[in-house]
Amino acid sequence: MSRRPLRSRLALALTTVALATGLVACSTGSGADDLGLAAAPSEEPTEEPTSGPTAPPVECDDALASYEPFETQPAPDELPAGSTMAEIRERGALVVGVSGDTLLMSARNPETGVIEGFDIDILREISRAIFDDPDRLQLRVITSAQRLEVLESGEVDLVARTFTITCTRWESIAFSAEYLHAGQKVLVAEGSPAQGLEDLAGQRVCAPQATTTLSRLEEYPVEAVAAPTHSQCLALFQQGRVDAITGDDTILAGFAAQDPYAVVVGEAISDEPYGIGVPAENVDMVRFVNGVLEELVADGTWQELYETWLGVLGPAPEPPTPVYGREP
Amino acid sequence: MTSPTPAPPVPQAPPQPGAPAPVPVPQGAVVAAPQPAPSARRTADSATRVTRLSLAATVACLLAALLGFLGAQQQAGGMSRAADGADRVLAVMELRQALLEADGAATNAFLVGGLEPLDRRERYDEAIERASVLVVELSQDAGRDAQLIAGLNTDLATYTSLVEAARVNNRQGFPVGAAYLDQASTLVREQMLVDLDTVLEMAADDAAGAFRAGGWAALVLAAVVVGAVVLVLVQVRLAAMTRRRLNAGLVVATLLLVVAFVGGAMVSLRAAEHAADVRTDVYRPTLAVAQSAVLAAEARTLESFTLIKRGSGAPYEALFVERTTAAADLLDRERQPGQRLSALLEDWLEGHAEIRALDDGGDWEEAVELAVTDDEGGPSAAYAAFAEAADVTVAEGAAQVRAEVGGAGSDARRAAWLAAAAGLLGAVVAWRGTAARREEYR
Repeated sequence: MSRRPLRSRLALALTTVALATGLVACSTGSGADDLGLAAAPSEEPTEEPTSGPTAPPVECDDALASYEPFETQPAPDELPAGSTMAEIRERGALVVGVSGDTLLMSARNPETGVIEGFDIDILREISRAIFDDPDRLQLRVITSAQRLEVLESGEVDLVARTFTITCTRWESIAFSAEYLHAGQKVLVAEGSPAQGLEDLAGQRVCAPQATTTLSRLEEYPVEAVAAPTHSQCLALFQQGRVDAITGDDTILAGFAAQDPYAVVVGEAISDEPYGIGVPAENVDMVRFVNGVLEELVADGTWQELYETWLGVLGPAPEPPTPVYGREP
Repeated sequence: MTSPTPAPPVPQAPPQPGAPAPVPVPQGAVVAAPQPAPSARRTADSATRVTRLSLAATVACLLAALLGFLGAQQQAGGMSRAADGADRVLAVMELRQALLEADGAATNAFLVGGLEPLDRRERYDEAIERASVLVVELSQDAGRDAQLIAGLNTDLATYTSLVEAARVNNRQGFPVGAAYLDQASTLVREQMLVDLDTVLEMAADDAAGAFRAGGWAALVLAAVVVGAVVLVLVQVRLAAMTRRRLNAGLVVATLLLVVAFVGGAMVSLRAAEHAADVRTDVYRPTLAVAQSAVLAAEARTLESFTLIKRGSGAPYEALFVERTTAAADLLDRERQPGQRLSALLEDWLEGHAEIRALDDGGDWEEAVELAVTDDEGGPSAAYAAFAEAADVTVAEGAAQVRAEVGGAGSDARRAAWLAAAAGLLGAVVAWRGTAARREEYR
């Protein structure tokens, strides 16, 4: 027996082994393979995008000036054909952007699930003027940061959401005449010596994103903390993650009502004239809304609503005097 | 390489010129031939060669015993780690689902408004309890994910306290409750689920690594086959030298290695194949179902959020579609349990479509009513039916993986002992069987 065949026999044996080994190595793959992950990154929804930083105030003659009401306010069944109001009546619902968590102004009542407040009642009156029925509202809950975009895109007919009338905003949308006058104040913990933002140097002060409230904080030596919504500010305040909240007195009154250890202090540091936002092109709608607002003041409904919702701020003041004179 | 005795010697070796005829002679006869010096040197050479050959046979058997044993033991260890790893992967998924169910119950209860319905509160409590138990379980045999799991433990405590704050405020009619609920949900979605994803990847990688231990079967096979080949070669050489066709000891040793091959290497090989089959046919489908259940649970909270955001929920609806499409795809890929589950998922998605149609049509109140109703035939009931069926499928699959992979591990362990025993015995027999040959040349 020579060596050669032996060697080839050995080679054959080893080949067999190698083949068998190949058969064995069949359970491969990583954990990701077992999970069937083709690479699907899970992206979570972030809070609604904020529409960029507020632009520097643009000079305009009078931000408060709105379009004059019609000479005679049309009745619900006599809305001018082809008008925005007639279209809405045709559609069957007035689509409005509102807040869902601004107590007293527009907040969901956790007991009933119904959104209620001063802003909502004003909108109900507008619904009544179009449909002869206050309940034709289709509510869309939006954040402060969404107020402009839903009007610009025409997704809603009106926005009533503690919406301050400014020249900058007039550049992309239209406003009704002022229907409520608020002012920015500060909410601090009970017992705090602070009487205003100037006393809160270096402390953390919360305000909602994309609001005039937040941009005004830059003028003070405080550490501004932006939250997705104003209610988030209250949660952060109760958790001790911010020292104070700034906002319109109307909103802060709602916070104080939810927290016995929070107090609203000092004088208003700003004037916040609230208007109802309307898509820029719907001038007829602005005129119509202004007509409704005048009627509410004239028949005492405005005072009634103020006392119902905002009585905590003190007795009802004089309703804001409407200013007109803007030309489309 | 199966034939145990591929021995070359033909019955009658051709007589070689000048060499004495291969007459079967009693032991020692060859040495007895009175030949002078050269022959003596040849005898000495032959003695060394015979010793070497018998050593080679013995060592081959020992190596087959040792490597076969170690290889199959490694494999068995891997199998039991794979079973544990699969359990851990499923436990992580279960934790994920428990968190999502808790969050879903909390958000859904919020949607109902008013005093929280008792059954939703119970569902939340039950899910939180399950999550706590799972976190503790996972932390017990945590490895490189220990820190993440500790973090999850803390987050879970934070989460429950946030939900409590939401609840307390809600009961007093304070809208800030919604802000707390939002924080709680954000914690789950942006922190806890992300951490759990990492833990899941680690667990899945560990399990995958353990499954690869099936590859050790190759070592068992190689050790036994090489051992047998060496034995055969030794016999061939020895037969050529001594003119004896068979050596009883070596034949028995070869037979023992054949036994080791059939009872050890082949068993080990089959165990590896079986484990690999379980991985593809049971483990992966089970993971797919578990994942689709997790995706569906997430989609369910997204559905609630779409409604809570009341008209601003479009981004949540987009995510809902993404999650449920992924869930349906996973189920489609797994034919067996998938079909029935696909149908159940489809039922729920139809209910969801109704909710969306109502909400998009401006009838938010009706949409919410449909979303929160527990009536039979409602979307909640359809979701529950899907989730339950998926749970059952996953539990069955997990049990099957554990049983079958565990069984494969036991087989491998038996193969290890068999290979060891056969190899050792083979070594003894081979050494003793060649003793006489060594004597002859001394």
